[in-house]
Amino acid sequence: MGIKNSPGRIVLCSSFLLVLALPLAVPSLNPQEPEAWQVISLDQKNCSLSRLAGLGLDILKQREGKILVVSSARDRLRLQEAGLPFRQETAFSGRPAAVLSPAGGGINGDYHSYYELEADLKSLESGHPGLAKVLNLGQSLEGRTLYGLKVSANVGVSEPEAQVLFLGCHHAREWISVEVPFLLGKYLLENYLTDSRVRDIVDRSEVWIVPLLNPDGLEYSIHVYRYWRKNRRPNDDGSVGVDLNRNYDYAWGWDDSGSSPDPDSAVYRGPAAFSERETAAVRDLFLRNDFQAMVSYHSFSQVIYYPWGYIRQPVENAARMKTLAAGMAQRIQEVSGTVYRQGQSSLISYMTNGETTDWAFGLYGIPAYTIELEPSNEQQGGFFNAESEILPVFRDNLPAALYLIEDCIDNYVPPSGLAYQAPRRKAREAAIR
Amino acid sequence: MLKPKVVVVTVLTIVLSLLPRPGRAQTATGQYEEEAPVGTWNIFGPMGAAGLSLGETVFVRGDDASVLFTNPALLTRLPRLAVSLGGYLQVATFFRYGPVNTGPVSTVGNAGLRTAAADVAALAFRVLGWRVGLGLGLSEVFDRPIVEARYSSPYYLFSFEQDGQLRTLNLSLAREVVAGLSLGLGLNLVSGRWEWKMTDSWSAATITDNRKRNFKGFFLSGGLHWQASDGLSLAAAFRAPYERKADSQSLLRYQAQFADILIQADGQDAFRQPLVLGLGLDWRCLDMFRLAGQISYWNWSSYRASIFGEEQARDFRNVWTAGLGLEYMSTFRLFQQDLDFPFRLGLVYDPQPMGSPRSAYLKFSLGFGLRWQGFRLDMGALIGAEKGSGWDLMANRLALTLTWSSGPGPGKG
Repeated sequence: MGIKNSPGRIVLCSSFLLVLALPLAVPSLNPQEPEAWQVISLDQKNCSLSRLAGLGLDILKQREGKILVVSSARDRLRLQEAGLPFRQETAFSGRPAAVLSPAGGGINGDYHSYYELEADLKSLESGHPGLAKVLNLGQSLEGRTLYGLKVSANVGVSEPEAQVLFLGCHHAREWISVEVPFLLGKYLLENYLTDSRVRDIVDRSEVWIVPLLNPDGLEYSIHVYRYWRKNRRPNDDGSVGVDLNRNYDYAWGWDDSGSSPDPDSAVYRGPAAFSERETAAVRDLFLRNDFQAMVSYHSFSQVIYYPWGYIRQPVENAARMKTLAAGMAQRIQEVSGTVYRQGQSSLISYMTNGETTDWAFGLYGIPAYTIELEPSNEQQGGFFNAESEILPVFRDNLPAALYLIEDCIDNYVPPSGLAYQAPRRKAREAAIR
Repeated sequence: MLKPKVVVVTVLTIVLSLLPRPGRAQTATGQYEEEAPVGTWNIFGPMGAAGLSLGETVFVRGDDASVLFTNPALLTRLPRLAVSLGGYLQVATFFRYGPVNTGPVSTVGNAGLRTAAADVAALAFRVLGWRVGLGLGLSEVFDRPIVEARYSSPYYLFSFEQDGQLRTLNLSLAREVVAGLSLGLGLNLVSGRWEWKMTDSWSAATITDNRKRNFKGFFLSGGLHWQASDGLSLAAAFRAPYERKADSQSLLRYQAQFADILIQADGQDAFRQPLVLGLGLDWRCLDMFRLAGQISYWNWSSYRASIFGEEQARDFRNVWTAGLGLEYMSTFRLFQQDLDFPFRLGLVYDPQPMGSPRSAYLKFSLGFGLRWQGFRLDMGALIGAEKGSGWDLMANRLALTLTWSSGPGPGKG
């Protein structure tokens, strides 16, 4: 049977076209449609960073008299209402060309896997005898070694020197947070002979670097699911993982908004404080040492956080910690204009409890920072950084790290009965050899 | 003698009632490993339906030309010319694989996968006193159940697909060196592909993670067969260890409004396969009954997996597998023709190599054959249940092999 008459064909064709067109014609009524993000710039003469931060804007960079901001439509409306002129940065409009550099290091490109990091740490140790020592801080649940790198002149001896700790990769997907502390250690070692500032730092301090606190999670992030955050603890309910940065025992489980009792949650705090081998390794490292400051690298947001995270009450007796945070942010900005906000974690971000810096500051009273590395937001890459960004991100953060170490050296008071002594010439010569 | 129609109806009823049920099947635990084949780690090579239904005893009986994949010496047990074609339907359940039940995606119960394929094409013939075999078989399948998950936001989509297979091209030679004793050697070229696609997409960004590898490799296999007496034969077989290599590619991409970040890699993967040794026995215990048995040793502790040049942790142990089968041979007349009608039952113990959790499959097999003149049709079903992982995985397989042969049987020319 067929439709032979013309009107029939017309009706059939019209109906067919109508059916095809219907899905195209239906307007989207969904209120959750993605916002139209734009990178805009404001003249630095017209406004200050603090004023923009007060408007809740996502500040990207400050350079050449301009402040670059990632803005939503609502942000732009807010700026108009505040009478702040801005203009769209066309260079950032639309989808950028793919950033691609062929991976030299396997499936995760130039980023370190656990095995690559293990080899590189040992290579640093063997290449810099007397200055670098790789230490086994414990074993992960899946049997991987938690490595620490100690950088100091006369590294085999525990001397009365300022000790500063840099941690990386509490969270598996934050690959850049492995690279920055690792590159810091590498920088100190490779420039010891040629850079007097570095030599002074290495001679007068003990820099401890734990670049990969969550090796099981990182390997899972590389080989299975890129956005994995927690470690690989099998939980009783069948879910996997504990958020290591909610597992420290200062204000652990303070409330259920700063961490979660639900094992399936991305911020699951674990069955008990220090239930995880990784956090226990940090605790034990603190017990064996006397750190004067600590930095825990994370990504992303371009922020320097300091305690408290578990309460909104302003932190007290922390003038030096605040000054150092401002100093670090300033030094980061001086490199290439990249703006890192800084402030008390609970006041400028979300609540956290059982977190590393609250623990370090709360228990030991030392300046402790969470540095959320670049980029500033998801639209710019979120937990992804192009391989070509590894070194620039490190370079941005290097002066801040050196500044923090030097401040600790300057403020270091040896335990009573021990007088500070510069490293013996013999030790330095051994290191140079 | 049993009435033929009663036997046929009974057997068909039993076989049909035990056919694999979609969504209820199995695979080995340890499917967390992306290179794990569907069903079991212990795959010697493609097998015909007769061997499968007889407790996977494939080292000692020359039922069809697919024996060139498992013990080339058995080529001497085939008629002068034999051609076999086979296919299967497999239904397997998975619990843990890729991102499923390892982190981002959870399932309620096991996920099922159904695959069907032609898996055996084999030819055996005689040349100047030698027996030659040539075959192409589907050895392993790497497919996984597809995941497509949408979360609360309409913009959030997570999808995952993995598929792939490994083929074996076999060239075998066999000869009866002394009366009753045959030796055979097989050259095997393996090739195949494996592909992984994951997409994680939400309002702000889309992450895609695509990987693929193309396998290649070569190994030797071989064996002997000894006809000890009219009613008893013994066999031994081996598969040499070899390295299954792969050219691999990976593309990890993050796309957002102000970012398009790619990490692209080309690399080499290598999967070192273990030595396998096997012994088989075939015994005519009663006039119409034959008993077949087989044990095999898998040197899995030597297994290595290297992905993009980086060795992966695989805690494998050596295992012994065992199979036992019983065949009842009946003959009946149908449509004025004499038909051989072998009926087979079997049991298989198939421990998996993962050190933890310890896991093994107990498989029950059954099947039948029909032989008429030079034609032979074998059908087998394998019902496998896993214990040890805690997930009660199942693996069921239905296999069909059609063989045409010409010329006298073994020892006759």
